[in-house]
Amino acid sequence: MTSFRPHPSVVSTDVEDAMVLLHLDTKRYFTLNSTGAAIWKRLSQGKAEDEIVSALAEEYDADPSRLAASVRRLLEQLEKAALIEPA
Amino acid sequence: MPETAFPDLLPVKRLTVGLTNLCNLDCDYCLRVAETEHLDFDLLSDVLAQARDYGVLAVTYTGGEAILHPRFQDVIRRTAALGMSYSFVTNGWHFPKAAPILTETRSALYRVFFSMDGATEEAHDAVRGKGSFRKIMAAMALCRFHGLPFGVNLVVTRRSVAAIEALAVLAARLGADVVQLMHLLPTSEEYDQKLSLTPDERRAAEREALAVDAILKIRVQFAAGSSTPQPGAPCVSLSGETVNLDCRGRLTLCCTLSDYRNAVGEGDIVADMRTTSFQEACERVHRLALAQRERRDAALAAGRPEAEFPCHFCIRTFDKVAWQAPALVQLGRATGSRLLSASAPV
Repeated sequence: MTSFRPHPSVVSTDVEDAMVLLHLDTKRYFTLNSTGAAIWKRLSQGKAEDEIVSALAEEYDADPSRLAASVRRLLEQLEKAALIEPA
Repeated sequence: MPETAFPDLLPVKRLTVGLTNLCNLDCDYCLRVAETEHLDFDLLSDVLAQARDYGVLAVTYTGGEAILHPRFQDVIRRTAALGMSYSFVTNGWHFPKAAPILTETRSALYRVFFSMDGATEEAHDAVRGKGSFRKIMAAMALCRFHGLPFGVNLVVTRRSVAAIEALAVLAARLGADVVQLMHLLPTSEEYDQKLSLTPDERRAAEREALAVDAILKIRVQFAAGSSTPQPGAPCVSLSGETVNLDCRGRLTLCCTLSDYRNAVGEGDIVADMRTTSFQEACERVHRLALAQRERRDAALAAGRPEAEFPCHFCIRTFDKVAWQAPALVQLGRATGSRLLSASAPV
């Protein structure tokens, strides 16, 4: 399973229970909801995809398989927007 | 609203306030004295009320780093409660802790001004220290998220002059609505030689700003101190429209001259606001502004080149750059709050 990390040109900042991202190369802003922000924080800590799923499943008491699918979808979106890159 | 007693001057509409001279950064060209003097909140609160009754509509908070004032939130809340609009200048480092009060008072917020030194991380951080560019970008992202209006300030130096267009494009793409430029005002011979543009180079920078402004949708303009639109045009301070309250509680002619690093003269300080009414202090500022306009008009008529750039003229005539006169020994400034002579400079 591939690990990802935030793209070095991305600046992130917390806002209430969400997160705002700015890609310094494209000058595009993005927002993440609370779940997305939780995933982003763990990516920033160097966590692998399966570690993120495990941690969130425990934190939110959620079904791991559904959570894994959600995490995968977000990682694909983040990678498409060049907000993350393979670690 | 009181009419001005001087027909050639405009009524005071705007107050600039040096909230603190404390700053977390140490930019080499900064013109402010680096100390830890915070403006007393109760005094500010009283001056704001008097200013509102006198017709002041807008307040701009500067520093130092304005957000580092220990009662920044109370300052903003009080300003908004009085029905005045406000703006402030920041380097962005501590912006996240200011964001909640800005969103709470968003109807009163005119604009946040972010101070930048270039269009790239390398250029900006070379002046402001590692991490500064990312901090200010994150602060702009917060503004964007909350829908808070913001602009960008740039001090134009030998180092930054080539970045005017790139910075304007960056600011526009990030959602800023204005780029304000200021010529460097020197605070020592070393930085004057290292960073100041010549008068010809300053004029070229002003032409560049006009050209970029004409091309882009974002406004790009020299905020003060330029030779355009015409050398003799009075700035907002010499027109009487803006007065300044410094972090020691004194009313002064102009925020640019206030707390000027390595200054000797304090002729721009007209009143201690603990003992003077806002109206009386403004009348003193207006008398001083008229005298300074006459002095500058005479210098322009005599062909003195420094008179073309208003801020450069004022820092010389108010003895802020006495080190430029070789016959004078640089004394620095007193650090206390003692009110020195309020008379116009000779």
